[in-house]
Amino acid sequence: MIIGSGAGGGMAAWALTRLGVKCLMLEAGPVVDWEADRKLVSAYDLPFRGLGKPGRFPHVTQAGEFDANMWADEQQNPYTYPKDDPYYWVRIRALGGKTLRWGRASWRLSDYEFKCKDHDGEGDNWPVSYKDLAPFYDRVEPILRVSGRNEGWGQMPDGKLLADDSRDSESIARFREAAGKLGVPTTKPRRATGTLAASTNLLLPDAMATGKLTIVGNAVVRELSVDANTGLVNGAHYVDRRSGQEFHVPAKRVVLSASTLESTRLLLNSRSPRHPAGLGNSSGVLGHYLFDQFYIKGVVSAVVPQARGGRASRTMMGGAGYIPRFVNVKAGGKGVAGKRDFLRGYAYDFGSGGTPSVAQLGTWGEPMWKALEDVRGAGFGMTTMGEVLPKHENHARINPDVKDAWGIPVLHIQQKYGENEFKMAKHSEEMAVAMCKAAGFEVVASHAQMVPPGESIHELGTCRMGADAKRSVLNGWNQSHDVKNLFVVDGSAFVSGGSQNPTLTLMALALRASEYLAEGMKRGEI
Amino acid sequence: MKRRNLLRGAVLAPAAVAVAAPAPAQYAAQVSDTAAKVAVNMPSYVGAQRASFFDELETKALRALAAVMVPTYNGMPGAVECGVVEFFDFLVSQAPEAKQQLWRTGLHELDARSLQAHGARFEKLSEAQANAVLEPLKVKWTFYGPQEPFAKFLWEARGEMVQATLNSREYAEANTGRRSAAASNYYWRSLD
Ligand SMILES: Cc1cc2nc3c(=O)[nH]c(=O)nc-3n(C[C@H](O)[C@H](O)[C@H](O)COP(=O)(O)OP(=O)(O)OC[C@H]3O[C@@H](n4cnc5c(N)ncnc54)[C@H](O)[C@@H]3O)c2cc1C
Repeated sequence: MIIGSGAGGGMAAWALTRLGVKCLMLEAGPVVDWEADRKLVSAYDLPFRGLGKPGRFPHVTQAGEFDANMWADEQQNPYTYPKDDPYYWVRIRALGGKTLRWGRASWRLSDYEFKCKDHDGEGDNWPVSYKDLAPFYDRVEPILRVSGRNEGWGQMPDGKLLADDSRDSESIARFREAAGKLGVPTTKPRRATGTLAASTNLLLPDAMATGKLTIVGNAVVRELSVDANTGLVNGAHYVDRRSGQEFHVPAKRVVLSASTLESTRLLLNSRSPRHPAGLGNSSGVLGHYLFDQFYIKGVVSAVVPQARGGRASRTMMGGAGYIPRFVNVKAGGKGVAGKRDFLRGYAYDFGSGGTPSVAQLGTWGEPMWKALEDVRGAGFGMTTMGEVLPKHENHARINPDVKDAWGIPVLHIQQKYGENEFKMAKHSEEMAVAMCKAAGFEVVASHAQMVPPGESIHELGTCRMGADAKRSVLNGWNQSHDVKNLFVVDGSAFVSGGSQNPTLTLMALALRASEYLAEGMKRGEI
Repeated sequence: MKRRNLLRGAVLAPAAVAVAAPAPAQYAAQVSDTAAKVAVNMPSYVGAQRASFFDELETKALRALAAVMVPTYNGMPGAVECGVVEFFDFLVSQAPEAKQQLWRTGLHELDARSLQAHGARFEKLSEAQANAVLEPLKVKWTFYGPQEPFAKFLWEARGEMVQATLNSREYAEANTGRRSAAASNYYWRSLD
């Protein structure tokens, strides 16, 4: 049984069915019909002119009026957090999960992440190394049709990519040259290509074609059931999202991929005499070490002077790029030498051709229109994505006092950024400004304000892997230390996250875990 | 608010519309028994939007604010011409309490400061006087904007009024003469 149909669940279904394993997939959301469920409309034909109904999604800044119906309803799916530490949990409950909307940036982790403790003594190493995962990255990238450029840098392993040989616009070329002079490496974005890159077009159709996959939609799993004698998982209790009818379905093995936090919630809600603290939680670590990547959206907003006054031509403006972690890298990595007052590092996305906001221009009335006209298309912007140190105190636990629309206890989520993140954020602002200035751009605004935890949509941890069963929930195969027929293959398994977008890695892990499971089944061991 | 194109909702294919009464046999070939696709317009195509949330003084202040912040420019309509006053009356009426409070007290404060500095409500001020009242907008840019309530209100009003103007049908029509040119995107129907 596979729970969840997003990146992790889709990958597991793809891998298991190819190896002849019969799978049942339970998915909480409905099927999305890409044709029938969408229509092209103008903003003025929407009641809120595209601004959206105020307050409908207090924690989903990404939600607009066009796509409001796509995001998980916050009233039906509540959660709580400490009064002064908001957590922004961004969810999609539909077949395909968040892959229906992801930005597709696809970067490999390296041993700077897998063996992070060896580098700086902080945190924990993963029970896998880059060498273990590389063959799986090699297979997932072609499925996602990732384009990009191999650079041979230690902190950014090369991949099986569609070569991106596109020319840079003049502004991007100028920025890259200036960054290079400061020792900062720049490269092309790495992204899954195609008009759609979701599990519903890249993974599930192949799995269905094997005849081995049955998908049940609108099935909200509330709890996993356990054999009282063996302590192994033996099925799932689920509720029909629309009618509220309750069901139980037996299973011999469970691959859980309801997404980081949802999977952990399900395990914490699955208490039994054999597993009093939640399923697979003899370590007490389940729910702990919640982290993500901190984002500083628009860390710098600049204007390319030569593009002012309507001169933002296509050769001058447009295009995008990426800066991998470049601080605290050692031999083999490419970066800026020097001792920092923080550990780890951060990456940037950068892009050319936007327009600074009216608030950044600081005017109103006719001067505002004139200023907008002057800088239209002449903008250059950067966003920081910083590594967050996983800490035990950042955690999610069940809040027994609040239940969702199906009567399932919700999560109380508690995550705060610490000193390391704040120092790193400040450094990233200073570097971004320095690079823009070196490129001759005019800096309109810069800041180091991290968005609240969760908003980056890269929530990770809470069901971490580890070699030591006393300090982790899963082993190096995404398999529960306690419950050998239970695998968790989403971002909750991460031990650390670097600054790279996590989906490619969680898919590589899901592929590896699924093949291990199929092998184990063949040998009669799982 | 003037609404044009009242006839845009013309039925696409008259021959394809199902009829209620049984048709005489000789007409049978012209009718279809499947539901037809009929182009239907939005409620906003006919009739002016009625404001009902802000009271008369608040509405006057809002209209004056819209005119000063987002005026007509270079032949293009400004916020007032784009129906932004009526639009925000609706938007704020649908908003959580905190936003309603911010806008209501913001409009009151606009008049209070105008009266204090210039002896008249905001709507009666000269352009220079009005701009002086809006000086709190000159606060240094920060990601979340100012937190002081009046500056916060002005900051939010400016950003949202510009967007509501640019996204209006009036602006789109003035811009290109074609309806379809304004911010368009895929709208997701309810997934249930
Ligand atoms: C706007 C946006 C941009 C993003 N950009 C990027 C990017 O550029 N690069 C990147 O790497 N990542 C990106 N992400 C993140 C990426 O989408 C996620 O990392 C990825 O989808 C996680 O996969 P998953 O399988 O763990 O979860 P999901 O894809 O969310 O799938 C989980 C599924 O489980 C289902 N489910 C949940 N609870 C239950 C339950 N109780 N019972 C049954 N089913 C359940 C859900 O309905 C959902 O379909 C982005 C996300 C968003 C929303």
